[in-house]
Formats: sequence, C-alpha cells, structure tokens
Amino acid sequence: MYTLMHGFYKYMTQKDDYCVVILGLDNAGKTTYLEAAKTTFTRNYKGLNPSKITTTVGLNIGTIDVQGVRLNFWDLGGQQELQSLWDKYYQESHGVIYVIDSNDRERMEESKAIFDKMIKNELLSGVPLLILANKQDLPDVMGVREIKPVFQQAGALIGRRDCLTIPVSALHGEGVDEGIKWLVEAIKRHAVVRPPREND
Amino acid sequence: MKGGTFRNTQWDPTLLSSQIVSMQFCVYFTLGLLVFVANKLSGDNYSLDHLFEYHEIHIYDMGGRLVICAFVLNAFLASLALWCIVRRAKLCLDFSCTFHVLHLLICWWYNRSFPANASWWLLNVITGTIMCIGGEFLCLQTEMKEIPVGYAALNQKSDV
Repeated sequence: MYTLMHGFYKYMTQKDDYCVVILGLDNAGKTTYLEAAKTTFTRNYKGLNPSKITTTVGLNIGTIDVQGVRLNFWDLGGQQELQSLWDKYYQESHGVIYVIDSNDRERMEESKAIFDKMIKNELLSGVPLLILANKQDLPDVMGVREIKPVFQQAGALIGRRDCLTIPVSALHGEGVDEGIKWLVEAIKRHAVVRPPREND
Repeated sequence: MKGGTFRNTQWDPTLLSSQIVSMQFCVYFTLGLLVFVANKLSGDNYSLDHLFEYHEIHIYDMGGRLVICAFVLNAFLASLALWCIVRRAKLCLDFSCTFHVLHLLICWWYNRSFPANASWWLLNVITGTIMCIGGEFLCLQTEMKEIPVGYAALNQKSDV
C-alpha cells in the first residue's frame, strides 16, 4: 500500500519538466546568469560567489521551480572548441537563452556570427528565444537599443517564434526575474509543439 | 523466452491495486481452509468468528491453540503468495504490512470494537514477520538468478 500511495503522491505533485539551454560566447556571463536565476527563484539558496565562477568546461546544470513548472538549465561552455557540442542539446531543449556581453564591442560581430549559426539549426525551429544583453551594470555599455539592430539582421533566421531581448546584470541579479518569467510563459505556449520531458 | 526478463519500474496503480486485492483473497482463502481443518480437529462449529473475532485467539483450550497454529501456518503460505503475486523482495514488507493493516480494519469492523486483546496483536506481529521474511527469502532466490545476456544465452548456457 505504501508503494501505491507514494506513487500516487508523486503522480499528483509532479511538475512539467522543461529544459533550457544557455548559450553565448565565453565570458558573456552565462554561468553567472544561472547562479542569479537559482538565487532568485530558489529559497535559501545562497549562490556561488561571483569571483569563484570560472570558465565553464562542458556544462553546468541548474534546476528551478517557477510558476508551477520545473526548469532544467543546461549552461554550456562558450569557448570556440566547446561550441561544437551545442547542437547535441538542441533536440531536447524547450527554450534558448542567448547571453551577450554588452561591454565587449570588439567581439559583438563574433557573437552575432555564432548566434546566426545557432538560430539556423532546424532542431531549434520555433523554440522560444530569450536574448540577454548582460553586464548592463558597467559604464559605457551597449544598451539594448544598440544591440537589438545587430541581432535583428537575423530576423529571417529567427522566424516565427517567441523572442525577447532584455537588458540584464547577472552580477547584480537585475532583469533576471523578468526574463525567466517571460520564458516560462513562452515555453508553455510552445508546449503543444514541444511537450515537456517524460517523468519517469 | 528463457530465464529472467526486465520489467519497467514505472508506477502502475492498476497492478499494485490488483496485487493488494489478490493477496487479500489468497491469504483469506488459505486461512479459511486451515481454520476449517482446525475446527474439524477440535470439534468446534465452523464460523467466521475464528477468522475475525479477536477473542478467539487464546490458548485456554485445544480449539484456540489450533486456530493460532492455523494462523502461523498460514503466514508461511502467505509467503508463497507473496512470491507468486508480488515477486519483488523489496515490496514484500510493503504488502505484508498492507495485508495486516487491512486485516486489522476488517476485524475492527467485524467486532465493532478495536482489537484490544494482547494475544491477537502478538499473533499478527508474528505472522506479519514470518510472512515478510519468508516472502523476501523466496523472492530473493528468484531475483538472484542469472540474467541471460546476448543471443547465446537464449539457446544455451554460456561458460564464459
């Protein structure tokens, strides 16, 4: 009877399970953003000291519960050598977060090129896309108004999908809340096409 | 297919409910048979009281002792039922407790009062233990068998 009741309880309390990939150039702030998201949405979570966040090799995994669903984040390494691994995760992704280092003007074109390559992939067709202009806390930074036109050139590639570009400062947690909530709503809308992961 | 098979471990309420009901029926069936034999031996009139009336559990005369023996012997048969119906060692404790909880509820309803007789509780704890340990022992014998791997295993035993 315990097995029956325990299974019933888990069945009744299970949440929809979605996966989100966090992409972008190295040093754009992807892992810092993941830590900020966990700090914002997980009670009693203190978060990693930002000074201890180093280059991601492989991926970091984070999970948060927000608005009745469970989001599993795959924070992938952004170095050139690691970008070839990205497409392995696209098939199971329900959402994409692309992080841009707004302070790095020299590499903005490089970031755009990688973005174009990523967005072109058929496995990500129609998947909600959240573009983050990170490091907005720094002075003399490129605002959304400057960044949006650069990535808007990929409008044809973005195609028909929910898309949002917002300014954030992952270091200070600003704009994190807004972005995640928007993403959850977009993923729910897209659940008809790409249903949540099977719960075993 | 020869030998063991893999079974999915997803939660299956239909299977679990069916197993609970089956266990209840099988164990009460064998208990009924054994108590019937005990009544024949002691010359008592056969009635449901010997199964559910908690005052019947006593050692004051031959009839009471035979009923107790029937319950204990039935615990071993219940182990066989666990082995045939449940077939998972880790679920034996669960199903053993489930059976005895349901038995408690039935006795409670049958007597219109909570079983307060120490001998009834002692007997049920003992039979629960026998049922659980016996069932786990039998299930482990089956679960510890070799799992066939590869095509060769389907036709012949491998020496490697």
